Amino acid sequence: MKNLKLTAGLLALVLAGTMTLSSCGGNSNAAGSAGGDNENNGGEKVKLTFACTWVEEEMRDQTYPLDIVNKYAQDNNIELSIDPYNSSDYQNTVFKTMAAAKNLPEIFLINSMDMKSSVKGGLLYDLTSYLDEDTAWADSFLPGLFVETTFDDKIYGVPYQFITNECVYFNKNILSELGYETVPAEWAEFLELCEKAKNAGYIPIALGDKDGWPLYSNLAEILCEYLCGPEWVAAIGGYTDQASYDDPKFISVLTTIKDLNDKGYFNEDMVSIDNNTQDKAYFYNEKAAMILGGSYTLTGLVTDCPEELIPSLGVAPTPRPAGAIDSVKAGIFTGGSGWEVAVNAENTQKQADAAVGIAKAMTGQEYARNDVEVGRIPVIKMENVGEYDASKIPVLQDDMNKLISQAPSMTLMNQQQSGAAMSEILYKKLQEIIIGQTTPEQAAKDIQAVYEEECKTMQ
Amino acid sequence: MENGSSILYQIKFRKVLFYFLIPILLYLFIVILPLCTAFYYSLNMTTNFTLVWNGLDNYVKILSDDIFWLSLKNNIFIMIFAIITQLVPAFIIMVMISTGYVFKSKFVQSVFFFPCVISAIVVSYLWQIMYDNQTGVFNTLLRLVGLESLQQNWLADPKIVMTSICIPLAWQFIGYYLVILLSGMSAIDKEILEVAEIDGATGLKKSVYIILPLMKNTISVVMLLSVTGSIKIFDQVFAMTGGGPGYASNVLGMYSYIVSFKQANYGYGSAISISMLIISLLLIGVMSLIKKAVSRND
Repeated sequence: MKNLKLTAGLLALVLAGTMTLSSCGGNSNAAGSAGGDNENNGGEKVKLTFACTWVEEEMRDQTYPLDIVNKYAQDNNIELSIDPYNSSDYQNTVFKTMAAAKNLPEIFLINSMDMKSSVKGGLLYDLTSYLDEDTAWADSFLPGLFVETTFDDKIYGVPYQFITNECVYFNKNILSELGYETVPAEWAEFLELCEKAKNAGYIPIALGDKDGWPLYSNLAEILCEYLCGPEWVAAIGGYTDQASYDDPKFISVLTTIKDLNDKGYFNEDMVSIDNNTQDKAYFYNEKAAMILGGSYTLTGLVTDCPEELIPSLGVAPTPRPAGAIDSVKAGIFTGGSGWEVAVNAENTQKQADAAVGIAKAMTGQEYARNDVEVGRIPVIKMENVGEYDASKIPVLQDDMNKLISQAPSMTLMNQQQSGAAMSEILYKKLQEIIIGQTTPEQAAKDIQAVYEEECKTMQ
Repeated sequence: MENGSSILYQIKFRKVLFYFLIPILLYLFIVILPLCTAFYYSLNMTTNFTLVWNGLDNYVKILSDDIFWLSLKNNIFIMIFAIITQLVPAFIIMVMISTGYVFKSKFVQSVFFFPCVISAIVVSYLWQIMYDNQTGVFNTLLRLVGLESLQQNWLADPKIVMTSICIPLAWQFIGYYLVILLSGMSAIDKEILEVAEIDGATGLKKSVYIILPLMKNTISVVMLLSVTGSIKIFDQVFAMTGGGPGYASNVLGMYSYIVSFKQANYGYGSAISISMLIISLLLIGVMSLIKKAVSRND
């Protein structure tokens, strides 16, 4: 009996211990959001936790973001703890969970789609004074980048990257075989190219839209610019009642995409393959003439491309569709930051100062130089980048830079002004149009219904 | 003397109860507390990462939410498919093993059980590769034998995507139910089966008229597990299709995830989760009633 009691008592202790440990478990690095809790009360080192999407194993040899921020922290008496997450997990679950629990770290990356909700939820530190005081820093940025992070004339995030969302990568050999040097700038000729490619046994346009966003980001968005116009785009992103998704102009965007699909110009499995490797497989195997992407696609496309195919890679802007608004000329891009650095609203002054210092390091000359050398567009003006090793720049980057610099206009990516709920419905309805489960008119109605709900909280 | 032993029993029982307190607290902490929290969230709307009380509005919204009902329809499809493709083959294999006709070898039995020890995510990604339009096993085999016309967009065609998701489910969990049925079978007195054989009941007759009625309780347990598993399914859908294309393969678990995390609407997502619980309880209730009715007829 005594042994039984002892055994039972020990088991109870083990269970109690397990329960206690499990409740205290989790990443202690991610728990620092409350005021001065993480600050060293001795006043010397500032402790910061940085939630980001820089997973070292996924960065290959492009670890300069981590190197630069770690070096800055070391040189400036900051005890920096990096919390890396896979980009998709971070955007879909991690950030939103931390935000809902009001448990954000001192400094973190934030997707533009979550900016507005986070500002309205009082989660972000107002950084306006830092940019007002350091005018040299503020002026170094490309013009217009802070539009995504400015609300009621206050700035809540610092863009640290610049991307364009829409371009067409093509196989020069296949296009040459079909009688084209590049992707035509106007829609009618583009459709002819697609038809010829299809008749020659190629997939005209390869795309992986399993996640939903590629078709919208890489095509629908630019069609909105052409067919609905920049004013409509700005109005819809402001959650005003001056624009609506059941506007015939937006329906024409959906109809244009449906038309491409109905003519068989996309790969049949578009909605079930991803846009990391599966759609590229069509391109690398020279089964597809073109593939849609953004400026962010370039580095991976070139890195993973078979060596013999690299010389035949080309890039062109998305063609101007039929019915485009007269004032919107061919060759435009939509661009923006997409992701920014933000600071926790509950930080102390010291923590905020340190976090802004890290943001400055991420938008400084060294970071920009590295961006250029790996084929990314820096957020600061090229004249501020200084010297860089041009031999490191990937193939096609010069072509991309030329296209962007020659673009008649560059407007803000409108999806970044949408919240997460709007983006989700836009992606899903596009997929439903592709699989024939809805019509453009009905999809527009459904999207508008969600938009009207969102307007009640996002205005 | 009787009173003395009764008092002794109560004292011992209280001591034992004390030691059970810890697991009970653990259960409350891990199961009941999150459930109560989810129910609280479900009575709120989430706006800009902030909860705003809105009572039962989320549940009213569910009634008119087409995507919710489509997702439930998919869950029911999985449930029926699972019963037909998991439980029936599991029963047949169980009979074959226990009667010694075939699959006598322990190795063969392990082969049936092996898939369910593999992680659901791994199985799903493997099958996703197999379903690939270009390089997947199925379409490649069809091309090799000259049946290109039968090639399918296994995960892109809304008409067959649910079946495509259910096939690996069947493959993975037949062994799991087989093991439960085998343990139920082992509880049946061998003499009854021998007597049945002497009386001429062999093969199908023995399975249907002898084994099946005797295993009523075990079968109701596996059906319960199958039904509740079908309602809470998530991993396979997440890995293979993400609920797409569109919402064609969406299930309640996936919908709750999309609403809670991708749309950052924890309130409505929790309402969907609580609705899943209610639906599961209703189904369990229905099954209990059917079981009682069947027992009464016996």
